[in-house]
Amino acid sequence: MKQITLKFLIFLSLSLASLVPASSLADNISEYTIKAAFIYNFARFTEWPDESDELRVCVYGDDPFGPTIDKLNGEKIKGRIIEVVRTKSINDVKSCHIAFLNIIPPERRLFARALRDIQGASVLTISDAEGVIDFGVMIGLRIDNDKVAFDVNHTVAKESNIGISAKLLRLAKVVN
Amino acid sequence: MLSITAGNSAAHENTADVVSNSGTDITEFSIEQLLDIEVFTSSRFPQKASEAPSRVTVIDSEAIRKFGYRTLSDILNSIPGLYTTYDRNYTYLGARGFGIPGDYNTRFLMLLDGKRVNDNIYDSFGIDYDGIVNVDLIERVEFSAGPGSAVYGANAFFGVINVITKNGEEIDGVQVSADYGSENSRRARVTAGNTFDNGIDALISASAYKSDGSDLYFAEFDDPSTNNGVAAGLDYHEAQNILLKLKYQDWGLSVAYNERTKGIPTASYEQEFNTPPSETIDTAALATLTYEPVINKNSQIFSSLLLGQYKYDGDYSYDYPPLTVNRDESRGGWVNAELRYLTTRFERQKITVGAEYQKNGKQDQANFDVEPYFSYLDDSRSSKTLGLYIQDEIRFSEQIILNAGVRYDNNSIDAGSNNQTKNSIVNPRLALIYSAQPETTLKLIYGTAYRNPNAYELYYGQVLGYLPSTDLKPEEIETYEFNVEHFFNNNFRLATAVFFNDTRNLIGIDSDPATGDLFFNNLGEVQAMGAEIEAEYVSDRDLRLRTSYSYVNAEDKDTGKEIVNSPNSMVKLNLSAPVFHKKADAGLEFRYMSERATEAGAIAGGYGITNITLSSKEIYKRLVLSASLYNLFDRQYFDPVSDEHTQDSIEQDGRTFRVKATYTF
Repeated sequence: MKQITLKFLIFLSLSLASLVPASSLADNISEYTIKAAFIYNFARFTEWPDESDELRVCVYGDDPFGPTIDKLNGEKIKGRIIEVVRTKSINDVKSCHIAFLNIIPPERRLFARALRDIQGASVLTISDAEGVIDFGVMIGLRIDNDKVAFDVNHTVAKESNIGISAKLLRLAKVVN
Repeated sequence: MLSITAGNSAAHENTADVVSNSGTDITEFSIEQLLDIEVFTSSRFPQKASEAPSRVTVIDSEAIRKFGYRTLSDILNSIPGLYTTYDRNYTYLGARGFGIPGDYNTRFLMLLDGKRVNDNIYDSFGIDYDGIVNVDLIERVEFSAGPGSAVYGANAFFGVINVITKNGEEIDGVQVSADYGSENSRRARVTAGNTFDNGIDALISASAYKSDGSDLYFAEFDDPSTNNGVAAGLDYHEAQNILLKLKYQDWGLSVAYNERTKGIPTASYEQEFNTPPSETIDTAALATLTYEPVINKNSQIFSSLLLGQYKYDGDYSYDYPPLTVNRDESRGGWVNAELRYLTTRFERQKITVGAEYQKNGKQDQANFDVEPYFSYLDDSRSSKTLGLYIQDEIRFSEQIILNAGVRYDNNSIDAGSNNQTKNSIVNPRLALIYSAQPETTLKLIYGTAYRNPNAYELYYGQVLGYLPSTDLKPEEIETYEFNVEHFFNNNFRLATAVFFNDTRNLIGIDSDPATGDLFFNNLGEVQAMGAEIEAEYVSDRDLRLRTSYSYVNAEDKDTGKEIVNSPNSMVKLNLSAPVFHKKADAGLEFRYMSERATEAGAIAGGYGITNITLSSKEIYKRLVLSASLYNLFDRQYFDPVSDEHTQDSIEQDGRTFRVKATYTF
């Protein structure tokens, strides 16, 4: 009896990979593909104070996008060429125009620290952790009824000399 | 990777079409279009640990609240393959069919925020109220199943338990908590935590626990001369706990302290039955300084300095005659320093190199009669360990990762002026991780681990009638494991594991067949083969179900018999759902364990117990309430215990309750 149970489980385990049908995942749109497209749009509707001819889009922390976001590399917005940068150093973020802060929600403390470290730099900060605009992140992405929505903390953006277009403010769900 | 095609939205209204690998430009979307696309959200599971070189289970603070977990033991019991055994003095952890009675958790490595907790006398750590941290302060517990000595060195034998504590930020104010439960048990806690404007994160917490316990009946002592088998007022329990944490930029400082007193109602070690004082006091303290700077964008240093202290006092009642208190003492003190360097500077590789040094300055044990004084044992030792390790995570392609690690440990034991012993041991681990599809991960793991005989096993027995155990060898384990994890969709996950454990030189309490004298011995070889299957479902409305079945057959190679306290089958089920308009959660937990053999060759019957908890989220400002019933159906069950007991197995708690309130100012 015991042996039969064990053999059955081994069989089940070994054959699991071949038994399962291809997942329905491929039929859906990856969340981060959409979010990458959002980032591109935020870049289009934002003004920075500097005159640089490049537009640095940074991913801080673990990279949730994968190759998707690399498609933005070399794209031109108002004469600036996008360069995608992945970094785990907050000091690197200071020279970014856009920074996607990928900080895992339990580590809220890290938000406070990351934001403090880049204070004074004109970086459009974006994150998709819960309630981030209350912490001082400029744009918070969230899922609302299976669609991506965004909130804007306009106060912080203005303090950092970042101009967010009226169009973005109009389409945002919440503006602080 | 996935990409999107624009347009054609008429056919699907609000849903855009997707064509895999078409390479369509994601910059073609207007923001209005984007706002209208339904997305596949990423995993709702707390952590997908797909790329770890072992199977990792994470239990977070939400689960602790929803299921009313009181101790680390409660938390670990919900993890596939793990089980605990309680002899009404200590709680012992078992894994995958190994739970030899009398083993003080020496075959697990416990980490507190990544730093070694095991003491240096028994190599043990508490998982009951003797645990180093109050469960309320746990952010999450990560259990990595299988041998981990290739990185962590000694004791990472059946698994590594990493307890991650909350930061001040998570408390964000002053929190008070009080609970009350069966047997007049009560616990109070005060915690203050905050992140200040200057960037310092601070947490300070103190708690106290007390339980009167019940009068317990033991059939083995049912005689008028021994109070008809009733041990009165000896199941009491007391604990005090302190945690301090400071963080500033790359620096961290923490101090953890716990003292626990437990009455012994079982008359273990041939004590006089129902005769106080019979109790143990265990005190553990750890102070840790960490510095973890990021060097550049692809490398980081992790360094730590840890001071540890462990203190144990046991009072045991013997009627020689006259009635005499015999005291058992141990004092441990150690320093541990670790330096680890992580770099991703080489393409497709993540390399970790590290060195760990531990100096066990104090490993003292004593045993004496208090009045009239007579010393049986007064033993002082010291030892040191140097470990060097390297691990490389090589990414051959998007799909294939090879994780290879090896650690060299040099142990040197100062066994007195004329005796110094040394041993060196090398432990490799290899894991091949294949992501067949983004949703399916296969892992093939070969792992090894060891543990040295601890000071208790080496030196304690000599004077107490135990036969000497000087030529003990380290225990070693080799494991082969195959894991498959598949995410059927965003809400449903299935994981299976098949494993084979080969354990050699297993150390346990043996008894001389002629004299009955106890001694520690390398008990030979035990092989275990088994499988686990786990399913997890999380609905969009946050109904959560996690359930597992595990099977194992652990056999002593010499006798061909199954080992003691080794359940073949276990079933675990945890179900939680929001109730009262999401203001509260209902948690249902079920655990089943099949029968286990006892030391005397009898059977401790299989059992299933059910626990329920109703817990609120923050209601009325920041008030959180909860109420739990444990062993709801008052199921009677017994745990097998070690040879040190007259009892062969000991009855566990029937139905108990706890109510709890926490408020944050």
